Amino acid sequence: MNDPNRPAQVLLVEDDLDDVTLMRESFKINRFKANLHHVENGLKCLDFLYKRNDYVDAPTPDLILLDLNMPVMDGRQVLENIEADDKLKHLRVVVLTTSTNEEDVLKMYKLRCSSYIVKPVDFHKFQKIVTKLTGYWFELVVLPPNGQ
Amino acid sequence: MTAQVTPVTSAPSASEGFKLSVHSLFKRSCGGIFILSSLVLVLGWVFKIGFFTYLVPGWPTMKPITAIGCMLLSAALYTSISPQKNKLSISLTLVLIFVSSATILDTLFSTRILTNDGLYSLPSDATAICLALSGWAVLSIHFKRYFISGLLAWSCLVLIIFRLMRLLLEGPQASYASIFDSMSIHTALFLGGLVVVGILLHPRLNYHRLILSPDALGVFARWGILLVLFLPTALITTVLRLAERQNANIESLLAISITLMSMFLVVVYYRILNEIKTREEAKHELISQLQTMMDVAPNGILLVDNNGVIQKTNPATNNLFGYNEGELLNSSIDILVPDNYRSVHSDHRNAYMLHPSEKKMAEGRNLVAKRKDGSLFDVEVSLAPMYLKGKQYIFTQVIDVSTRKALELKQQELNEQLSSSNAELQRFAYVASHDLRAPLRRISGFIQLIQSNYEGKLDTQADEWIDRSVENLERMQEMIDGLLRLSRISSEVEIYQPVSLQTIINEALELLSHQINKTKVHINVGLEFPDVMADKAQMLTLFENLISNAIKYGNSDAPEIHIAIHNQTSQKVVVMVRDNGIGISEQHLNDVFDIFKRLHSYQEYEGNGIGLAICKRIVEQHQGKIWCESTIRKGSTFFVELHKVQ
Repeated sequence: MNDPNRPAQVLLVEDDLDDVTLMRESFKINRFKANLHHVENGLKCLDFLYKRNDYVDAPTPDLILLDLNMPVMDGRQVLENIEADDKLKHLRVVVLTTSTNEEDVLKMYKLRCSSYIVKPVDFHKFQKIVTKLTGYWFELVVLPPNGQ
Repeated sequence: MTAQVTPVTSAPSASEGFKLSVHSLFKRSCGGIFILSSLVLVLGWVFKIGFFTYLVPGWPTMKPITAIGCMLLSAALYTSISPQKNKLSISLTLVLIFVSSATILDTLFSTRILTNDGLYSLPSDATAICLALSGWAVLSIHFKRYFISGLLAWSCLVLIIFRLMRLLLEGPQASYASIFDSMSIHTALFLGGLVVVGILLHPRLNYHRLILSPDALGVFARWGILLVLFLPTALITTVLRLAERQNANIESLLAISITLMSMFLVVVYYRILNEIKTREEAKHELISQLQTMMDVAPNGILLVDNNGVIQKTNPATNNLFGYNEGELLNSSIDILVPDNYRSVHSDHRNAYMLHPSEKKMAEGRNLVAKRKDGSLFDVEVSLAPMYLKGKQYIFTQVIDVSTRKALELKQQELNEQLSSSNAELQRFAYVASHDLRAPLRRISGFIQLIQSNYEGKLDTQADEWIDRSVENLERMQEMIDGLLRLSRISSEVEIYQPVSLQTIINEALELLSHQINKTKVHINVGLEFPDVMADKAQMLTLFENLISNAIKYGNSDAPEIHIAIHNQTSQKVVVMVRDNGIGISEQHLNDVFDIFKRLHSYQEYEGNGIGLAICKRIVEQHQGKIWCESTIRKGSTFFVELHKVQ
């Protein structure tokens, strides 16, 4: 299975710092040991993935948690970019958003996102989602080897 | 006689003036002359002054009784016109009647009541009869018997005219033949003059106005009078001449019968005149009513001939189009039509003239008319063909609808504004509730983090406050979720399909099974619910909310819910959901459907105050109705009216 010694690399693309803190805290509560990397918009996300500019030393993330509505470049454009690039399209992208817009849901799946999750208002529920999410991606499924 | 009639349009006022002038003429001169001359005659006889006993020098003298009678008649007539002298007039008339009656009796029975062989010798028969007739005529006026009075006066006049005709034919020395030509020429003239003046004085029995009037009545009266008065007179005179006075008795008989015939004709004539008069008056009244209607009508009314030439307009037409009175007459109707539409209009007009019918124009299109100053305005026009003297006219009505059009436009604008602001409001509610979720989610996250990380590490007060904050955040979340759901109902597209209410209700009960089992509520569901045109998901929400409410506010001891058809027509169905719970007080019956309206504290009954608002929105979205009846502590019934599948 996945290398237990190698910590999970999770990239959180999120413009709101509070949400980043809450995500970190829920990882902590879940005792999920992961390197949580954070970028605040789509453009920086692509930099991260292409390991350029500020992110030359960035690891390839095992899982990308992508918010949809962000300034500069939003999640939709990011997903379009990943989908269009052969080197990136194998990456697992989970859309994590407050948008319940049905059109968005369909569009994101058409862009081959791995999952679409609506952030619940209640923190307890959110925590449960994080538990399930990490359990699924880091315990259940098999990821490509060597952090690809 | 007809030649004197002047074709003036204001006939009533002209004859009014004529009547007034006769009035004053008689008062100032004629009356005096008649009274004076008869007084002179009487005095002449009393004091035996020979000269004064002649009316006309050279003619025979007038008999004293005749003179007295004439004096009484002129005085009675003179006083009859002023109401203050009514009693005097009546007294004089009575004396006149007495004198003439006594004279007639003396003549008939050779008595000597009044007359003698001396000074007061018998006057002629005709004179006595004429005096008596005049006396009764004046008396009838006082008792308002105008028809009788007229008949008597006109009979008297016929007798006198007859006598005068005979005198005219045979000269002043025409000899005595029957009682009808026994009257002397001066008496005939004097009495005749008096009677004519009397008739003119009393409008109710004078027919001169009638004879002079230019309308149909006047024409008939002018021709009729020839037949009624002159034919019998001419006839009797001719007969008498032919008979050559060989048999006075037969002559008298003939004269009497012809006179009676003449009187009969007068009656018939009068009746016919009266009938014509009534009809003429009705016609005039109608005409004046129609004229008034034309004058005051707020709509333009025009009469147009079949060449499109304006024949008549009303004041409103002139106001509407900005023309002076009469200015539009004899001009083409086309000048009221905008220039660019003129040729089409005249084609339309010609086509209409071929098959004229009552018609409302401007149905489904905008008709525009042109004012004198060239400005245009919206109109509605209705047409009706009319035939006058064999010629075809079009009766046209024009209504200025520019104000209405402007209002309609304004209303349309307002409606658009309203619906756009409604849409904006819905969008706002959606965005607000949607965007409020994010910060709320974060606050709630942090509070819950504090709760889980620091519980028991701070003091108990802090723990309690944290708990309360969490609770309030939960409620706020519910409210925002509710608001979001509510705003979504309005923004969803309305495509309705047949939905089985039976299925919906069963599904709603299924969804609520946990709640139902917990409260052990007894639910009674009716049968044969019809299918309705609706959105299935919204129907489910509607009944889920209604039933859930009924459970929540139900009777705590023996809760019962009754779901059934309240009533239905071929188009609609009213479903009711009844509970036996706490009920709603009357003042809150309408409030329950308001958003966030809660009638109980959160501690008593949990809820976000949005369930019934959502129900109402759903039902309104379906063009239905929702209402509630309730008795406090007995229970509430909610009614929902929906459209059935047709």
